[in-house]
Order: sequence, then structure tokens, then C-alpha cells
Amino acid sequence: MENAAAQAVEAVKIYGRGETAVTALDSVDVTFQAGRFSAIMGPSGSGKSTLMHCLAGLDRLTSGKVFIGDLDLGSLDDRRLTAVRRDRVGFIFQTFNLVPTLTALENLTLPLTLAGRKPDRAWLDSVVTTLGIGDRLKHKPLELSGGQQQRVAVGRALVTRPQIIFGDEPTGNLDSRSSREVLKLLRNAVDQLGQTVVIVTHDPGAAGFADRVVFLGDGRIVDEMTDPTAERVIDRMKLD
Amino acid sequence: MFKATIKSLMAHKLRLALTALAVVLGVAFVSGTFVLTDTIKHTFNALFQQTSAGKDAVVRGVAPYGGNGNGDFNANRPLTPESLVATVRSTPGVTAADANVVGLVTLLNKSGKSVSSHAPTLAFSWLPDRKLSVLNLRRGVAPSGPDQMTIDNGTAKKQHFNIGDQVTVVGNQGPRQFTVVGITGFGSTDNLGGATVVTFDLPTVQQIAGKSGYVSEIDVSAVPGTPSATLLSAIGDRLPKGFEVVTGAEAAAQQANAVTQGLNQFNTILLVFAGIALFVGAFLIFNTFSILVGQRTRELALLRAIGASRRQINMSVLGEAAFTGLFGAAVGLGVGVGLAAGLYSLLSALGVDLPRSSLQFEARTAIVGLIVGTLVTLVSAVLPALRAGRIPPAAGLREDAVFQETSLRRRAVTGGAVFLVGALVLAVGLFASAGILAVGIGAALVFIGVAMLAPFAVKPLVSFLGRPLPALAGVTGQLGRENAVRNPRRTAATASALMVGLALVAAIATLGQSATASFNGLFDQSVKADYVLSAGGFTTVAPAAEGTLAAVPGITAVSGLSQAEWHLGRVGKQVTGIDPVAGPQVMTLDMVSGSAAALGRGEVLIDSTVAKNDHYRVGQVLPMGFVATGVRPVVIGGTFKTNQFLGNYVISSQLLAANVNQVRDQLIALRSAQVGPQMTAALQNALHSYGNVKVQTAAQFKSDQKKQLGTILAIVYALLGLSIVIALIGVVNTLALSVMERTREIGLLRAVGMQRRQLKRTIRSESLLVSVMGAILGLVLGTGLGVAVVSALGTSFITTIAIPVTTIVVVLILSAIFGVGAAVWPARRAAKLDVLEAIYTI
Repeated sequence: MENAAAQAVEAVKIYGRGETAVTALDSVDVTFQAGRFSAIMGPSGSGKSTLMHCLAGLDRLTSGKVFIGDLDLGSLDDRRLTAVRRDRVGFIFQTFNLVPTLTALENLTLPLTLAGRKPDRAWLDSVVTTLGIGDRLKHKPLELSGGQQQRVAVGRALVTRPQIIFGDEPTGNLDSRSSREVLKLLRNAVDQLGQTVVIVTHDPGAAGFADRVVFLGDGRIVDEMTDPTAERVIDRMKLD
Repeated sequence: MFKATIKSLMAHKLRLALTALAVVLGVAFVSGTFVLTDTIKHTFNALFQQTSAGKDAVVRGVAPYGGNGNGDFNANRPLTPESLVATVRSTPGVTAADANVVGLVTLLNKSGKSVSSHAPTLAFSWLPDRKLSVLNLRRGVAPSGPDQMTIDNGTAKKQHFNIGDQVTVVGNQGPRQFTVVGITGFGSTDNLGGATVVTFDLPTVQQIAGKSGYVSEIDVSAVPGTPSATLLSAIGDRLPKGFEVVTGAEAAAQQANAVTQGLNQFNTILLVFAGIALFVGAFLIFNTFSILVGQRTRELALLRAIGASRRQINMSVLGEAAFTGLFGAAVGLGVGVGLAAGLYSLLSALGVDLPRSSLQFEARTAIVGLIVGTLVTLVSAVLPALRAGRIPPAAGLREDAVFQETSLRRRAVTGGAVFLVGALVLAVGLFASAGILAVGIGAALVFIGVAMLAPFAVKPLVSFLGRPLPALAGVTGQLGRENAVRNPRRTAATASALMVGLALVAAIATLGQSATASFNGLFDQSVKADYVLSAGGFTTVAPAAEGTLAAVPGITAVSGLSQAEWHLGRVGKQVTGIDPVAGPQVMTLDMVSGSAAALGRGEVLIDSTVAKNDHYRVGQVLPMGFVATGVRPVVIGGTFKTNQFLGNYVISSQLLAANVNQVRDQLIALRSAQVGPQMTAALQNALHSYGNVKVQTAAQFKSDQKKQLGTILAIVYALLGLSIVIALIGVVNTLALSVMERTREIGLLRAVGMQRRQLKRTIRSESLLVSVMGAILGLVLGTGLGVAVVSALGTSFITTIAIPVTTIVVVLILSAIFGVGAAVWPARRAAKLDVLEAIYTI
């Protein structure tokens, strides 16, 4: 368990009750190593988003445990859980990642300002340089392209140097060029900045950027693959 | 489409509930006012009809100038000579004719104070024929002789008077002791709407509250079966010119009318405030519908895309408004009835003994309430409805459908025009004396104009006001500020509702402050007295006190100030009576022409400005028409520089007394060799048996008057309170709608680490800014309005313009506090949102 950035132990998530109950996670055990880029894949309804939400402290398990580092999220109240999301976790959503009233830079540093901390100048500069949006920092989200918005979101996820960054279909709404750029950014974050990234995706091309792919089906882990390529992922998906 | 309207209503229940609440409150105010005043009127009518049942006819002086005596019985008629009683009594068909006298006295309670500081004590003559009397004897016997009297049961209970008690009554000749021999009721109630009623035998009441040889009216009962017309003509034929006979029912109706006449004014004043509340409600309704239409852009576009016509969309929104308005109005009617019932009980609890009467809910109340409530809602929703119709069908297909707003330029032009027209109408109303209605319409237009222009002020004003917020509250303050400016129209409309109520507060405060500031100077200019004595509220002092005061060692001059109505032709005017010798010593009489000594010759002094405008010259004869004595030619003896305390016409108190039914002093002014606690005590001691006279030095009198003005202002503020409450509901509503609209954003903020309390603080910051902005707009506009009104009043009793700085600061602070308070519920809702659900909301 050394170097686990996030971990789920016998994670069970059941939505609803009685006859209409749906088991989204059915005793999942999974560990995401620090300093690696992982992808979670699986068909719709396989529980991949639920797994990510629970790992990220956005949702709570019905039973079992999830850890960020060695911190058991289930034991935290809303205030502490919020602080975990703010300080230890980075987020990239598919759409609507940015607060429309704040500029790109303000959005980027939002978790820090919410925590009442000043950004580390050097780190911020290197993040901004990596993102390549230095000239758009004063713009409001509506004045940015979809790709630019998503890059700001990546920047916001990086700015606190979190233990782990989660992406929920982070490229799902982008054209292929922007998609590649965002995925390259995430790859760089792992390789050059030593970050940990976990994304949920259904795009084999995106999964090809990862070090490891975990496949979910019917709320269980059905397979996994290390050093995947897009072709191998497509081949694996044909099995379903 | 009808079905879609209903569906939409149900879907937006909560949002519309707050909108309906504005209608509920406004309509409740309207219907409550109607029900309360109708009930009181009905009560009095029934009461007078009941108590006049035995009166077949009433003989009285003809009211020479009409009117109904402003609630004083027969104060608008000359007295009737007592000798007419015999004439009437001997008329065929008449079985009884009693002399009825009504006057004002002061009744002292057991601790030597007046029994009431606000309502008068009415002195009646005891009518030997019981069928004729409005009073019935509950206990004891009828008063007879110079030292017996009766008291109404209400006062007796409250003051613990009983049969055999010795009480002091201050009448025309001063205090006098009487023994209570009977307790009376007024029909089924203990007294007449809170007024104390005492009775004496005829000669006694003539001495203390009337005139010897005169009566107020003669009450007649006839042989059963005598046709009314026969009786009236038989009596009428025997009456000299200037006297008339009417049926008992007619006289009762007129008396009830006189008592309830004050209610009509009360009614109108309350309705004005209800109107203001509804006007403020209109802003809230307009804003809600604008926001709802904006939020439903895609849904409405979809309806358009599948074939709904523009008209159908318009009607759908208006239908929603009509339902909301009708629903709110119906609930408001019910609430209003409850409100009236509550107020009625409150009045009873305060000692106004009203007969138990069922609440009068007239059809008019329901019709007016429903129409007003529905109409206000419909009119407020017209613009949003039209805007909804203009949504292009394609708007539904775009991801980021932006609501088409009317161009800012057109808004600026229209808003500016409305503002200017309003200002013009207001100016005409104020300066050209076009009347209070023009002032009201002008002010309303000014408010609408400013509200239309307000979006332009939102960005600079809120950015400026919000400048300290990021420093104080970090990023939450910054987000609150950004949220307040992100939709300037919405913020402007919300703030404007608050603006209206607070503008009126500021205007009234400016008026009050200016009046207060002016009062000192005015008083010092007009009054030379060292002491000013007055009775509280609407009560007056018996002139006999003047003699008692003159006998106090150290007092050098004493003059009462009494007022009477007189008529020049048909035009009613006021005249002040002062002592011809002492008067000019206690009041400033700067003679421009003639001499103050003319008062002693029974002449009239006129304000020099009035004399100049009306072309009066000294020596000319002024035909002064008095109710009691008819037209009296009075020589103009001089003109004096304006004195607000004396008014335009001054005569001697003797001349005034000779021409009214009863003299009572409004004030008594004294010159004294020394001023201080010793003298004050000596004066209080001298008037000990007068009960209710306040002995005040000139300085004390001044501060007392200011305090009374403060009380009136407090009542006006309370009446404006409802409008401000509605405006705050508007703030709550807008915030709640904004929170709903920003669900996803809130989810995102929470996901990236915003704590619940930070989120709440963000919403509170926004609310604070919107409220303070409304307050600033209102206070600036209101102070301006107040200054305009003060300038228009010109030279009369307000001479100084004073800005109510304290009130303005207090209102600003309160607005900030209430603004934060308004955010409590929306903030709680926002904080409760589930992060995951919120962020995946579409």
C-alpha cells in the first residue's frame, strides 16, 4: 500500500431502496499509486463515475472505505471533507468548470483563495507557463474557447499541488486537437511535476495517455491493463 | 396552452409564493382598512339609530355654512333660544319637548388628573323625557340641582367612580365639585367610542358648558301615529327664521356621520399607504416574472418551435400572473379581515369602547381587493410577458441561449423621459399647487424613471460599495460583489423596490427635521411668553384658568389663545382670540399699520401679507360670518407682520367669546418676572384643580412640541414599514431565484472547496450590496424629494431646510442589517444543495 494516492476498500454504493435499489459499486477494491496517470473505463452504468465521485469526496459510500493518502474520507464531516477537496484534491469536470464571474487567473487560484492562502509565485508561474494561457489570464470564462477553459481547469487542479487530480471525462466536450493538448498537459503534470492523475473516460485515445487502465462493469472491477495504447484498449473493449 | 400555464404554475409554486405574498400583504392592507372603517361606521350608525328611536323630531339652528361640525355635536349651528322649547312643546301633536345641551368640559379623576388626555369629555343636559335621551340610566338617579351629575359606565369603571363620589369638573367658570348620582350607558355600550359623557340638569350644564338661556337643540316626541310630515310642518310653521326641524332619524344619521367623518380621512390615509405597498409589490412581481421568463427561455423557445404562437406565449405568462394575483388577492382579503378584527380588538383594549359588532365585509371590499390585487400583478407582468413572446424559437436549440434584452439605449431614453415627466408633474403639483394627486403621480413616475435608469448605476455603485468586501470577506466577498453586478437589471429592480419605501422615509424625515429646525426660530419670533400652558392632545383649557393664573404673584401678563372658524362669504377661515391688553405682551405683534390697541375696541388685526394680497386697508369693515351669531361687521384696526402662532386674523378674546357657542383655550401664554422651578411649581399649584394643564417654560414647550412631531413621524414610518417589508421579501425572492439559477455554479464552488459558511457569506454579501444600493438610491432621492416639498411649502411654517443626517445613517445601517437578514433563507437553501446533484444539474 505504499505510495497510494487514493484507495477504495470493499467500496459499496447503492442508490435508492427496496425494489428500485441499484448497486452502482459492488465491493470494489482499487488503489491508485502516487505519481501515475490512471484511467477508469467502462460502459455507461458500470459505476466508473460513482467510483470517482466517492474517491474524490463528492459522494459517500454505502459501505466500505475510501482513502485519500491515509485519510479515511468516511470519517469526515462536511467541513473537513470540503477542506480535503480544496486542499488535497484537484478536479476537472467535463463542462462548466469555471465560475463565470471570475477571471481565468481568479478561477485558477480559487482553491487557494478559498483556503485564504497566497499562491506560491514560482509554482503559479510554472503552471501558467505549462498551460500556455499567460495572455488570457485577465479574461472571463465566456471570452475563452472550450479548450482554453479546460486548460484553466487543469491549472486550477494543479495549483494546490494536490495529492491527486480527478478528471470526469475532461476531454469529453472538446475537439480532437484541444483534447490532445489537455491530455498532454495531464501527462506532463505526472511526468514533470510529479502529480497523480485519475480520469474517467470512454475515449480509448484518452486512455492511451495513461499508465494504467482500470475497467469496470456492473459495479465491479473486471480487468486492468498497464501501459495501454489506444489500440489495445479498443481491442479490450471489443470483448464486452 | 392553458394546460401549460397550469403546469408552469405548479412547477414554480415556491417562486410564485413569494410573489403572491407581496399581493397578499398589499391587498390585506386595503381590505383590512375597508373592513375596519366599515365596521366602525356601521357600529356608529346602528348606535345612533338605536338611541334616537324615541326622537320623532329635532329642532335646531340652521347650519349657515353646512358641514357637520367635525364631530362636535352641532358645532356648525347657532344655539337655540331656550324660549323656543315652550313654543315647540305647545305645538299640536307634540307630547314632549326637552332642551338638549352639549358642551365640552374637563373631568378630573381621583388623582386630580384629566380622565383622558386625548379624547374630550362631553357634557350633556339630562333629558327629563327618557324616551328622548341617547343615554340610559344604568344605576342611581337623574341629576338634579347645581351639584349633581352622572358619569358614563366606561369611565366610571376605568376611574373607579361610584355613586356618591365627589368629583371635580372644570367648566366655563373653572373647577367645580359635583356628586355622582347616576351611572349611564350609551345604548348597549358603556360609552361613545371612548369619549367620556357626563350629564347635569339643564341650568347647570348651561353654566359650565353652554350659555344661559340657550340650548343646543330641542328633542321632540309626538303623539303615536302622527305622520312625520304633519309633525314637521306643524313645528316648522311656528319656528322663527334661522331654525329648522328635522326627523330624529335624520338628525341621528347626521350625528353618526359627524362622528364617522374623521374615519374617512383615516381611511384615505391608510389606503395611500396600502397603495404605496402595492406599488412596491409591483416591482417585486415585475422582477420575479422577468427572472422566470429568463430562466424559462429554452422551454418557451421549445414551445415556440413546436408551434405555439407569440400570442399564446404572451397569454401563458399573463395567465400565470392572473392566477398568482387572484390567488394572492383572495388570501389577502382573508388576511385583511383578520387584521381588521385584530385592530378592532386592539382599539377596544386601548379604551375605545366599541359595541360588539360583526365585522362588515362589504361586496365593495372584495371587488376592490380582487381587482386591485389581480390588476397590479397583471400590469407588472405585461413587460415580461411581451419579452417572453419575443424569444425566437431557435433560442431553444442553442446551448448558451442568452435572453434577448431590450437595448440599453432605448432604456436610457425611456427611463430618462419617464423621470423628467415625473419630475415635471411633481413640480407642478408642489409649486403650482396642482394638488396632492399630482404630487403622488409625479413621485410614482420619478420612482419608475429612476428604477429604469438604475441598471446603469449598478456597476459603478456596487463596485464602489463592494470595494471593502474582498478585504473583509476574501473571495466570498468578491464573489458576492460580482454576483450583484452580473445582472444589473435584476439588481436594479430589486434595489428599486427598497428605494421607494426608503425614499418616502427620507422625504418624511427631511420634512420633519426641517419643521423641527424651523420651529425654534418660529417660536422665538412669534411668542414672547415665558410660560406656555396647554392641555394634552385634542383637549383644551377652560378660559377661567386665565384669571387664576393672573393672580399668581410674579405673573405680569396672561392671555389665552383660542380659535374660531369664521366665513368670508362661503369661504371658511380661522381667527385667533387673545386678550387685548396682555395678548400683545405675550405674543409678538409687529404692527405694520394701525395699532394693537384696536383689539380693545373690538376691531380685527390682519396679517400684513394677507391684507396686501386681499387689498384690505385699516378702517375698512370686514364682514365676519360666525356660525353662532351670523355676519358681524368688524372694523380692520391694523396689520401685523406674519406670526405663525396667531394666524392671519386676530381679535380680542371677548369678541371671539361673544360669537361662538363655547370658548376653550388652545394655549395660555404668560409673562413672568422670574422663570424657574419655583415659579413652575407656583403655577402648577394655582391650576391644581384644573387637572390636565401642562405648565411649561417656553423652552420646555418647544422641546415638547418636537417630541410630538417625533411621535407623528414614528407612526408614518410604521405605516411605511409594510412597503419596506415587501421590498425585503423582494430581496429574498431575487436571491432565492438567483441561487436556483446558479445551482451548477454553486455545485462547482463547493466541489473545489468552498465551505458552506463561505457560500452563505457570498450570498449575504450580495444581499448586503443590493440592499445598501437600494437604500442609497432611496435616501438620495427621498432627501431630494423632501427638500423639494419643503421649498414648495415656502414661507409658511417651515423656514429652514434641514437634512436628517441621523435618520439617514440609521436607515443605511438598518438596510445593511436587514439586507444580510434577507439572505438567511436563500443562503441556507444554497448551502443545503447536494454538491454532486448541483454540479450535474442541467
